[in-house]
Amino acid sequence: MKFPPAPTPHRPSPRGVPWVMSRVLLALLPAIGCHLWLFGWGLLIQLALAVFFALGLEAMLLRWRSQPVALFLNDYSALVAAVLFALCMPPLAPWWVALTGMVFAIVLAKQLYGGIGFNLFNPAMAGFAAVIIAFPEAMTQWITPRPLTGTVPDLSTTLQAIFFNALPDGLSWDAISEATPLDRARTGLLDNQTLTEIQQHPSFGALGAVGWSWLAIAYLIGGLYLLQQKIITWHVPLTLVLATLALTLPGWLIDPDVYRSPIQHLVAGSLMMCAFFIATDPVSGSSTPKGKVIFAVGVVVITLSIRAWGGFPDGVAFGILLMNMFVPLIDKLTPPRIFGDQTDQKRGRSS
Amino acid sequence: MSLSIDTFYGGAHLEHHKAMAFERPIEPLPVPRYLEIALKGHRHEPALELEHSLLVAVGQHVIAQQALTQARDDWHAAAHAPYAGVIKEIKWKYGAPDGLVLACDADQSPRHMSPDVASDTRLPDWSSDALLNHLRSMGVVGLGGAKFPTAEKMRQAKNGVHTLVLNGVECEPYIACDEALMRSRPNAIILGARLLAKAVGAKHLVLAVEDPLRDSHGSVLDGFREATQPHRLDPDLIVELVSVPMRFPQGSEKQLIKTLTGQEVPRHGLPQDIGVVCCNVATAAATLDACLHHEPLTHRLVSVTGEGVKAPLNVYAPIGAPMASLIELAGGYRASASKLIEGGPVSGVSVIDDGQCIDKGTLCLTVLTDEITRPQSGQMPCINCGFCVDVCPSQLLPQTLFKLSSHDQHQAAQTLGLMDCIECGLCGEVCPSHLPLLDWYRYAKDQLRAKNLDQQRQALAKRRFEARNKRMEEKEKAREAKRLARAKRLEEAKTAQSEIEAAIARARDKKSSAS
Repeated sequence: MKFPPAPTPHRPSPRGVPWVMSRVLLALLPAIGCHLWLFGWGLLIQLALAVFFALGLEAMLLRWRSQPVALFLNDYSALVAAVLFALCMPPLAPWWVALTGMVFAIVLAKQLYGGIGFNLFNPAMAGFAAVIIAFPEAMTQWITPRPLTGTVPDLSTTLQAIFFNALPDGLSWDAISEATPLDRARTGLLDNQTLTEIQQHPSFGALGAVGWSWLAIAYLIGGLYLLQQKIITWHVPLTLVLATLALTLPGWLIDPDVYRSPIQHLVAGSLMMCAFFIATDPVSGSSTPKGKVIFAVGVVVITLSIRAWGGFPDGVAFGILLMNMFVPLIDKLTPPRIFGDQTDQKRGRSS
Repeated sequence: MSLSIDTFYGGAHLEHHKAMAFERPIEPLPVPRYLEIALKGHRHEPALELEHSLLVAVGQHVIAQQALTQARDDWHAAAHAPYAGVIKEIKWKYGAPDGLVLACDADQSPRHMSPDVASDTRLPDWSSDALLNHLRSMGVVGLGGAKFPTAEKMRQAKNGVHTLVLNGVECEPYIACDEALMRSRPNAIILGARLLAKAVGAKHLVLAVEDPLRDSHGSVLDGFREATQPHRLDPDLIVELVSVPMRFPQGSEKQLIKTLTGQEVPRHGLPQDIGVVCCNVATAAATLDACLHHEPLTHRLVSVTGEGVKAPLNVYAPIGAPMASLIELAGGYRASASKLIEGGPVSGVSVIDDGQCIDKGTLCLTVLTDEITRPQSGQMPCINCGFCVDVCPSQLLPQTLFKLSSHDQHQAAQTLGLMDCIECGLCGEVCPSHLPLLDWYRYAKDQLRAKNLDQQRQALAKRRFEARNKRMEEKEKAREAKRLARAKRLEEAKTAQSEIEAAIARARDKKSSAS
């Protein structure tokens, strides 16, 4: 009997790329639920928009590049990028922000670099960075979380805001939106206020950011699930959290009026999301164990620098994109020690 | 030696799928109509020498166990006829005999596996050299798959080792031939290993098994208790039985040594560099058969297993038997059979035609079904997920090696440790993109080896050319010197002649002037 020639692996893994990506989506569910409760319908519309644009653009580009459309649409990677992007968006941002973001994420950052596996930059962060630079106004209009007001905009208000960039009569942006705690702290510090004064505002709460800290915990839960499923390793999340604590603790201990608390740094912005879902992106991140640690430290350093001295309240997107550029170098300099290697010399120089 | 807690990096726990091969007892393969005996053994063997080692010619009738080729040095192991028959054909490849087709005589009964011996069997007390020479002529090679001549392996390790590790760790799923052997011939294995331990001068003998304690069969180690008693051949040898954790690829030589000793075999080195030599249990049994019964290595145990065959079992098969005959003994293929693999499902090689014949390194024929071999999604590009990095027991970066190998950057891949890859295949097994990683590594390694061989050949040709030039030059010089000498002699002769003539002339002048 003859068998057709067949390559390895003889037993392909049941954990294929679609399986991995769908687990990531599953792990994002707690955060999505939490976000919906905190900020209302906005995220749902943003998700629908981002997913629609992402899949549409992905399909168009795949066809243009003569790639198998069904195979790559079914890997769910565009879906993951769209969902991560939507989670970063202010809930009432107008629809063209999502379109612009997805053009940058899917067309420029992903497909033009060769599609899944070949993108140098994290697509979701490339899209997000593009829109915060392009639409700084729209990107700072975060609505006040439910615990502070007891209410969130209803569905019709949300739809009107997103699709017509208008609010119903009697409602003003100032009434429903508010600076995020990170933003408020930054502008306050720029005005030479002390943090004790700044944090009198109710939006800071006990942990440093009312509502936002819950979101951070939701990301943590999802991230722990990914760790348990062995989809991500401990290197990036643990390093990222520890580096944040290590870099912010001394300042806070010295002068808590000038330097924000480590916990606030962790929970108020998107560092938790970054730790488990963004910096762990395999394609654009480092692939050696040591490299992952360096990558995570780099992201934290850049993010905290932007928070302290930059022009944006948060800097995760830029931290990721800048570190993406270093990945080839990091990978080259941090090969793991090969079994049986007894020299301490760097590989590549010996032999 | 205590089991080191620190085992090797990477690896994975894989479902065993071994029980199915034990549902039937070991059976001998009915004598096939023909056998095709591979003459090329271990991969690194210098094949050019083979030409001169043939002992038989086409059309010749041979008897069972007759030597077909002779071992010219330790790098070769002789091949023998498993059954009586006529040599039908000698196949040549790249200018060297590659295979030998033997049409077996009818009316022969199949050979059964020898029964186990008593644990106190008297062993031949040969010198190390005598034993190794004997092993070489009996065609004993490493039966764990590598087919490396045992005599050469032991000769290299001789005097430098304190421990002989007897490898009974059959870590790859489905494969069950070593366990079948360990359950039927424990004393033969230990006695054979005693001979080898004595030949290399080892003080310790450690039998390592991965003991799943399958219900109803009991522990594999139970059968070995008696054999560990001191033997009169070497009363001082300490025999230990060790059960190592189930983890693929625990049976790989370097990984097993790491688990047992906590030490790593140096990257470009061999186990003897840290005082250990490894040998498969089947090799030890073959050693005993060769030394005690003077039986050359003509048969081996092969597992024929997997969901794709109807009645899996372990077969005692002659070397060179067509795979189809083994499959037939296992009840034939199921309708859902989709892949025939020589070896196990992780590191094995897929076979296109089951008319291919088994050789001394065939451990197992695994037949998988469509359900197992069909990927759930199509092949995708590498997404750099690092699942392969987490399992690679050689601590390499499989995804980087894949990218380099598949873009013909073999030299760069070598710098990153491609040659350290033990081809366990685990990286492909966990790859979410279902990439044929192992195929690419094998391809790239072949390319590198071919290039290396090419360079060696070129260097040899250059050396020969230079030697020839030098030789010619010297010849020319010698001839020139000879010519000069002759010319000088002639000159001298001429001078002598002219002197004589001058003397004669003078005499004549004198005479004439006098007269």
